Amino acid sequence: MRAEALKGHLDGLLLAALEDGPRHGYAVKEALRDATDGKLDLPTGTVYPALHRLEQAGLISGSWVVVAGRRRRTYELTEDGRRSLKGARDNWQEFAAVVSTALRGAPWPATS
Amino acid sequence: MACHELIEGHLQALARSLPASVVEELRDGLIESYEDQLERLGDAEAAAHAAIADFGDADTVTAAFVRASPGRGIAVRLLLAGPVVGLSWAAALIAGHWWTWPISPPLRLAVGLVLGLAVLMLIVAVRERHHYRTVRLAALAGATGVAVLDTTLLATVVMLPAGPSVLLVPALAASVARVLLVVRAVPEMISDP
Repeated sequence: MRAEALKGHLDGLLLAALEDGPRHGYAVKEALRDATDGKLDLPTGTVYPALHRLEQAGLISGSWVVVAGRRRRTYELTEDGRRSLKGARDNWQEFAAVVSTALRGAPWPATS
Repeated sequence: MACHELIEGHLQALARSLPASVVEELRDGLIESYEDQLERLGDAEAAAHAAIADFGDADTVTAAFVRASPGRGIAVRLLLAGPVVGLSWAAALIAGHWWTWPISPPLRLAVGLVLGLAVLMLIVAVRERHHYRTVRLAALAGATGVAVLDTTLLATVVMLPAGPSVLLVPALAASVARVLLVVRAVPEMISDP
């Protein structure tokens, strides 16, 4: 899937990847890839700035842990993040339903 | 696990533009990716190339961090608010015949210089695409300049015997709001993300 197709939906996808619990940047990317059978494989480097943006917006919170001698920053959803994820899901379902209806080839209402 | 020199080279390229804590976070992700690729491919050189290709080039990653930086965000907001605040003050000052106020020419010049420099710094913070530290410093300088200017205007109005004017209310409110915006944003700008 092309990256530009994700425009406007990346935040919701990242929030969804954190719904089950805290993850670090690479694990978020891997979770998205696994959840979509490899169809959504974001460049690792682009996931991190997006996570920082979400953290500044208060939708996720980050904390440092040490794993295998390396410092690792993990992120988890905040309450605002959970609300935003629910909103993203609702918006997507509405959008997908409208576009699916239009693409099905049903006749358009006649105009005067 | 020892890391590959290609990975270290990539991290050094990122470290030239990004804060240390960001590079530390990226290091963890890049090494994690390298270790996954090494397990899959069984060859260190191929694994390093694959991990770097998957990660993205340093310029693209740096530019994404610059776009997401708190400094750029505050600079955009201050530049967008600038004309509104400026017009509010212009209306209030003209209505109050500011040219008759006993303010020395050097002070007027200093205010003009601070305004010009602050706007210039904010524009630099918004336009710079690849140097995170430049964005941070320019935004900090610009935001500080704006706050100093607003505080000076507020102090001037309080100290000078200017008659009360209804036009002063929106100007004062705009300046107070802008100073508060800067005060709230500064800790985020100076903290290492």
